[in-house]
Amino acid sequence: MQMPAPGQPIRKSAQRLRWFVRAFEERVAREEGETGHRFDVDRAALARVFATWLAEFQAQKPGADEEKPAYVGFAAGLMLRALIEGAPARVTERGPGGPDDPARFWPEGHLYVAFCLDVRGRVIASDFHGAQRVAPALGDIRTWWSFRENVAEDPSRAIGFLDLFAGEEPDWTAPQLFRPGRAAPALGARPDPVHIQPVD
Amino acid sequence: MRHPPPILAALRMPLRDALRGAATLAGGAEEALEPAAALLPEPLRAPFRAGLRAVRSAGRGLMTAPIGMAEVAEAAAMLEGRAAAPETLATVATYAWAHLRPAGQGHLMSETLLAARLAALSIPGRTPAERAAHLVADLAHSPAIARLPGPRREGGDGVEDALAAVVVWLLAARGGDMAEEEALLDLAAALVEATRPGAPRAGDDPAALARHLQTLADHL
Repeated sequence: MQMPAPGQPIRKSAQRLRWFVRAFEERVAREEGETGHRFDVDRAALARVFATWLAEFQAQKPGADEEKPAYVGFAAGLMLRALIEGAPARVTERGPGGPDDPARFWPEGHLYVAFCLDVRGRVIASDFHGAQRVAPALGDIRTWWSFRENVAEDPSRAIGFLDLFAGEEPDWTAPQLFRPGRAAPALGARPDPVHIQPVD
Repeated sequence: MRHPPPILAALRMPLRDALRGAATLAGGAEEALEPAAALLPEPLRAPFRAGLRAVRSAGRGLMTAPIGMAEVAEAAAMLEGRAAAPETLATVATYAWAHLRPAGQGHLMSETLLAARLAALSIPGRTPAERAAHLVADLAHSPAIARLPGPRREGGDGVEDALAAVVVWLLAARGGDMAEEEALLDLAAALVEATRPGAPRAGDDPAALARHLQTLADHL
């Protein structure tokens, strides 16, 4: 599917359903290749996720240009929350993987995190000329146990966990609220978009 | 882009409507008569179902062929006020309707009546979205869309939502080919459905409906 407007910043393209669906389906294909899982994606549910995310994204979008880099990380967290709540993907076949492999532990959650980090990394790279970091927590199965349990209780905690996976300081008290002055993503030296590898 | 065989391109609107009607009624009949079919003696049951399916699939194959990117662009141009092409808009809208609402699902859109309505209608509005909102409100209750006999479905008839999806699709940026256009039409329908709670309806303030349709098109 073509991009709506070539040359448009990715943070703008991501606000179009056609881009969102294509990017998600590309991530599914990569996830299937990397993990051996097979997923079924419900496009109607994905559209609902997009609509929910877009409304939340617009509701808190800051007006000041200097806040926009910080909002990228927050918006990716909102996307993760919407994906977890909307559950548009379902694993239909499980690939190999050890007991400490987060992708084996929670295939759908791993897919959603990988997608949100993908989008976050692409926006940081293309629109703000940086590179996204990832934290060791991303491959730590104990963090994933906590992640899954916490978001089952309160999906808004997904926003804090995405910050954690991206090496940022999470706001656990009110993760669903964007605070002016929130730290912009710390930009590491990693040049490529994030690819999550299964833990050996 | 699919090129229809010459005989299909030459079919006139009333004939396509007749085929569409036969296919739709056959689909509805199969669903409605399913309990009765089970009562038929076994030797009659399979031919009965096969006959209905043959009519339905033949009609489907003939009724949805003749549009391409040029027709979609012309229909969008009419919505934008840049072209007067009621027949093309009717053909494209009917194609989209059949794509979104497969035969046998409650309502039939008549290409002939729609073209006549569009030709007679002076679509008011300063912007494409205002014209789109007016069209949705006008067509939702026009004779161009007929409800077929059969049980009513839960959750409303979906006519307004399907019309909204068609105009959102036409208002949005064009795709690269017809396969992409069909995918965009499906996404437009999904977006309309996802944003339905609290969204303006055809009987509400037309300006609010126009803003809603334009917002959806901008984010498709």
